[in-house]
Amino acid sequence: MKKNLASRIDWRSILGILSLVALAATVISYLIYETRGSAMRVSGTAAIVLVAAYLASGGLGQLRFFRSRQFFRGSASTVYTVAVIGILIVVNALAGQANWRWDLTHEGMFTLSDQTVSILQDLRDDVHITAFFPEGSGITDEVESLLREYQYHSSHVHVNFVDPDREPALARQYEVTRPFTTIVESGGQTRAISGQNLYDFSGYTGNEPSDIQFRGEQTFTRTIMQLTQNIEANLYFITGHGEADLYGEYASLRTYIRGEGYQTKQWNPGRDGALPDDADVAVLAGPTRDLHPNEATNLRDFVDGGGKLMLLAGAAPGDESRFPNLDSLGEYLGIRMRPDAVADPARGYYMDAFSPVPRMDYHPVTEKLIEAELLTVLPLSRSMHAIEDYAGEYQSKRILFSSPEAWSETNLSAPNPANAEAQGVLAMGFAVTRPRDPEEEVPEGADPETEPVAVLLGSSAFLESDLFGFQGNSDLFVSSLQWLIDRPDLIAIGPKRPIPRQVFLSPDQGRMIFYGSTLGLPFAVLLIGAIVWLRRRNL
Amino acid sequence: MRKIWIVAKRELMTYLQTPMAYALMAGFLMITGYFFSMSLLGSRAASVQSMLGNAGLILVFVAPILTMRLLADEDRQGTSEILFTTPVSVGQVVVGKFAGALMIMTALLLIMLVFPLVVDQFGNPDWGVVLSGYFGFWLMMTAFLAAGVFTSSLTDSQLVAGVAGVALLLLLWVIDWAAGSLGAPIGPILARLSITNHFVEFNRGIIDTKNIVFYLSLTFGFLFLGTRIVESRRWR
Repeated sequence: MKKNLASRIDWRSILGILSLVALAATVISYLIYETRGSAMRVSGTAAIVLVAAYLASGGLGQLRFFRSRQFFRGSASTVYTVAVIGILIVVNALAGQANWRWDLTHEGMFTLSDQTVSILQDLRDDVHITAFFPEGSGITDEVESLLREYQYHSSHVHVNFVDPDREPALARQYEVTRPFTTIVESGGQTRAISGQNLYDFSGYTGNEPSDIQFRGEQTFTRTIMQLTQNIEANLYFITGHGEADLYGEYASLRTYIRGEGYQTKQWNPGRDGALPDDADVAVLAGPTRDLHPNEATNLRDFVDGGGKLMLLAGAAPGDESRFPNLDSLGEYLGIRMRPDAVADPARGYYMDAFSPVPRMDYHPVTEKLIEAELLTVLPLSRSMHAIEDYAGEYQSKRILFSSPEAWSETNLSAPNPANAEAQGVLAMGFAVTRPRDPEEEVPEGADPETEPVAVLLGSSAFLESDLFGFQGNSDLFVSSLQWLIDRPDLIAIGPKRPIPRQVFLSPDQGRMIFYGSTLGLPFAVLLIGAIVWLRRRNL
Repeated sequence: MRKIWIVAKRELMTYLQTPMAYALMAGFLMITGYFFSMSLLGSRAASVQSMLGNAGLILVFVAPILTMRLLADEDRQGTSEILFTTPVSVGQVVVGKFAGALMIMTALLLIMLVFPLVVDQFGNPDWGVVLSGYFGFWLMMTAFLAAGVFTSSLTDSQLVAGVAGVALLLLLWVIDWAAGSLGAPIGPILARLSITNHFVEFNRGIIDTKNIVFYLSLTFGFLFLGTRIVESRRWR
């Protein structure tokens, strides 16, 4: 009986049906999960094995249905063709999952660092990256290649490139106003990265930035890490004293530093009280009115309690200081700010003595600018000096200073060095530290002896949108922040440095290449053809 | 394999003894040479990426012209009966003819290596990127030629075969244009079918098995379809 039943079962037909089911399952899971998913991997492998077994077993020729002469050839051929196409789809789908890639570029331009790969492999939440990049741009290609690598290393990374000109509605939905902006979303949080955050440059050749370095990996990895691990620094911009608006004069600054991974908030201490606990850095930039004594006390308490301060004063020329409480805050840190504006005709930006281009002392805040030979310009800067008989716990180090030809000017309408309170080299920036608690864990790369407390600069005008992009102005601000939060950088991935690959041709060489490649080479092929043809004709 | 080689050699000799192949090669070299020199003189970049990217579009026209006669002509001249009654299978004939065309185009690609050699004389090209780009171009070329063989199997008119080949390749060239508008799941599938998207990575210096498998699948798929169509004529 058993033998009879077994003989009645058409195993080959079952094999064939199972093959088709597996193929269909693979194609469906491919459509649903795109290039990834264990369902597709399993069904795809099963489909290949089953189809191979089916064809090896005699396949279509054994099916009774196809034994009919009428149907055999046409139908079998169609089914055979569909099966082969199905296999090709499955093979491609499986190949899409395999991460066998070789980066043949000399500099490894498309190879992610071990640090990025480790972060991507540890991802547990989905990260959606929407890049608003115009099609056909070299920058688009570079960023697309990089983000494809991110996708390869984690199925949690989803990348979508959108041409903002073609899909303006989507760009508006994400409040994207400039091309080359990338939106990174994860866990309900969103970060915008501007094109400026993706490149570094060192100096200028004429008006063009030179030695441009792509640091997309550093920026994207840091953003993903911040979004998924909730590690980021909060900057509180103090308002209420005539400071510039983060959404107005400081709009470029805000976009840039958010792209660098800092959260920005405005805080009016007169209305909102003492700074909240999540404040990492308080930024007091360019107040035109003095602080209230309580506000100055609150900021002192904030600094004493471990908070960091960026104090960016502005010129205050006059015989008497108009900012006694602000000045007292500086003096609490060991720095006295003069009621003046620095005049430095020897290093004036476009010959403007009141827009000095300061020299820099070597310090973690300035080292990147010095090494990259980037300049900063500090318009209408107050001068300052360390208090000689200071008895507080803080230590200060000068980081920016003028040329010896500078003087402290109190009358902008009639500058006269003869009346100056101070002449010669004038400091325009200080970094303030305090001794580090021996019990405290020292962050990697940080100074084990001292802890950063504050950066005081004589000017805030360099942060305004029209000057923020000048050479090293943005770097000065971000380097100051990085130093203050005691993390030289959240991650240390160096920018890719492509070797410049240019040809140097004389006009004659250019002409030779043009005629040789457009006429010489084709003519040589035609000549060979003519010789062959003539020889054959004469045979 | 030996039978395929015999058919391929016959096709190769046919190409080499007709002026059309030389004219086609010269025309292709003239246009790619123009792309190369314009890119080099304009950007001063020691690279052939731009030339290879543009040459792909010229290949869309050249490959079907080169292959349009392969199977269509056999039908038109009535030699297919003779050919298919020899002890050579249809698949071997199709693959052999394809291999003949591929040898001609591979020779053309080797001639095109003159361009990076010129760049090397005056600059320092990244040879990893150059070789990756040429390898990708060769794979794309095999897929284009296979598509041409397929369209040649569809008809006994060379002209129709050529036009159909160009149309098919142009479609595969631009198929991803609609990807952004159509959204998932159709959009990503169209983007994956794009014959250019898979070349872009080669041309940047990235060798990815996914792209290799894509071009080889396309080549195999078109040759398989061509074989099925020719075979179907024998029993229809």
